[in-house]
Amino acid sequence: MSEPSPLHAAHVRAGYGARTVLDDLTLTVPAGRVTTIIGPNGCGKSTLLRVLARLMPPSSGHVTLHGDRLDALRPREVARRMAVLPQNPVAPEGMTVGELAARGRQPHQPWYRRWSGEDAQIARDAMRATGVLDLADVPLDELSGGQRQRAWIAMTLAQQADVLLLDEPTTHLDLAHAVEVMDLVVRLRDETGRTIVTVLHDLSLAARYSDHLVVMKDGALVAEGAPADVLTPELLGATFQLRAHVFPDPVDRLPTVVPARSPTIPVPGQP
Amino acid sequence: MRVGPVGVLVRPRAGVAGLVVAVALLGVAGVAVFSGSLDIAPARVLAALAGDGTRVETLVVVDRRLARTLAAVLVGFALGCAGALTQSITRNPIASPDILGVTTGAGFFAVLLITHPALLPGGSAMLAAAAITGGLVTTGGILALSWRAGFDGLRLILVGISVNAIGMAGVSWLLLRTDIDQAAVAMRWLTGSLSGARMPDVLLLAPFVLAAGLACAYLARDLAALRLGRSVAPALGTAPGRTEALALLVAVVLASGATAVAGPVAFAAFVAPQAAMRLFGTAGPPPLAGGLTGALLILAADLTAQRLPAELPVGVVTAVVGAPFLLYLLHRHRRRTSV
Repeated sequence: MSEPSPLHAAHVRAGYGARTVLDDLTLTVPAGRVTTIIGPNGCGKSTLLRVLARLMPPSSGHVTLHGDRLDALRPREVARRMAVLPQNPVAPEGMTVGELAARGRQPHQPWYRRWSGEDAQIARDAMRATGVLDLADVPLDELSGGQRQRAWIAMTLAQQADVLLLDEPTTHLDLAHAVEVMDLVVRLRDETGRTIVTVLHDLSLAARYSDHLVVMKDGALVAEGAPADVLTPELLGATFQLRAHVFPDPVDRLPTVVPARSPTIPVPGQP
Repeated sequence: MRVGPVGVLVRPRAGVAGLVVAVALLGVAGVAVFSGSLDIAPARVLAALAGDGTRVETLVVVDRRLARTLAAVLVGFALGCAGALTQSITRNPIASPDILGVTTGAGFFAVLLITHPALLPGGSAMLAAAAITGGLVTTGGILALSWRAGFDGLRLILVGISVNAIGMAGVSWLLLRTDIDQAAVAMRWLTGSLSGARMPDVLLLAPFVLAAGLACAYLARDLAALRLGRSVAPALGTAPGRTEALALLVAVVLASGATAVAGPVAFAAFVAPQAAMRLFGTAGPPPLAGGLTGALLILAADLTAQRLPAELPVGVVTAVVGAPFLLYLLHRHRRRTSV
């Protein structure tokens, strides 16, 4: 890792009211890679993403973006450097893909100039990159789940920020649509060199599409590294309380997670 | 569309809609100024407008017709714009200032002043001050009651509906305790009427509307981001709390100011932004287009109210138009959610 990390969390503590969710967490996001945060429900992975995205202030510690402390940057400056897609975003009824992509230009526009030829070009490029340019005039509510998610990603691309945070981008999508979104994520890394951080639930999907896995449990970081090194039956047992087989898939040799059968339950179809 | 460094993305449909509404507004304003119960030749109307009319002509054309027309336009713009702002920040078409209790709060303070003139010496300017104070106090109360670790649009609406009911009860109580003449004045004002609008009312409202128009132009970008949700907006560099607070303040001042001049005109703040949204094809209730549509709605409604066999307050006409529109929206909403 030669490039300096664009996004770094130092001794971050955060929570809701009296409940502490993140406790003294330090994380360095590698530049130009896809980093995926995994962990059991309630481990604080979405809270970590919200703190990284400046959607939630840490109660102590701080996050730096390109070397500057997040709390010292103006919101619009943050939005020019880092694009964030929250979980399950909902667009107003009737909004088209083109209008949504155009919104991504907002952080670059002064209030008196809301549109320029350059903005139009960048929004078009963003839609082309995510494969929704043909759908520019179609309302979002008429799209499939995968297309809609790609339209939202087009909006974040139009922000032209080199850090991209995606909170559970594949939730509620079937496997084919989830793969469609994750293929796009990897392509963005390769073609634009963006630093991408995602939160995913599906462990095999996380292993397949990430360069760097970050495993969390009870608000702390318990392991990080390349998927093949991190994803072990021992780790899954300790953090997820999951008995699982982890083996390389026959074609790409990427780690694949399959839950182990409970000994008391018979294998279907076998007497 | 670009003018120097100023550039705004105007879709063809919104451009055409804006032109149609503006032309219609000018047309109706022309009818309102050039015709009336007293026959004055168009040439004499123009002379009166230019300042060369006789005393009677000037009185009728400038002090009555023109003042009433301008007041209708300003009141309509204020209500339409205020409604679009409150509907935008709550993301709910129901949340117009009259349903949130803002208008009723402004009305309560105004009726208090009408029935107890000794409270504050001064004329219509004081009525405006009382109404705006009432609007702000009521909104402060609604916000305080609905605040729970942050702003919540739906809770604001529920608390607003309750506060509205309390305000109405308060107004009824004031009317019951006062003598019949003052009650009659208050009642007529409470229905929403422009028949008494004069130039001082126009001059009172104009600066508010102008300032609010500028504020809306400034807020448009952040409101558009807020339409994508409170979690997406900050990611685009918009601070939701600041935008909501500013939009709410502008909306309350506009709605209270309009109430001070015309009384609580029913349904206008609710109907105009929703009609504008469908007319202009925007993704949410548009503040400026809503204001323009509101101006047309109130002006046309007031003209209709004047020309009926028995002159009615403008609020009756807007209620007749508004109530079916609310039913239509509810019907459409139910069909959409049940499918």
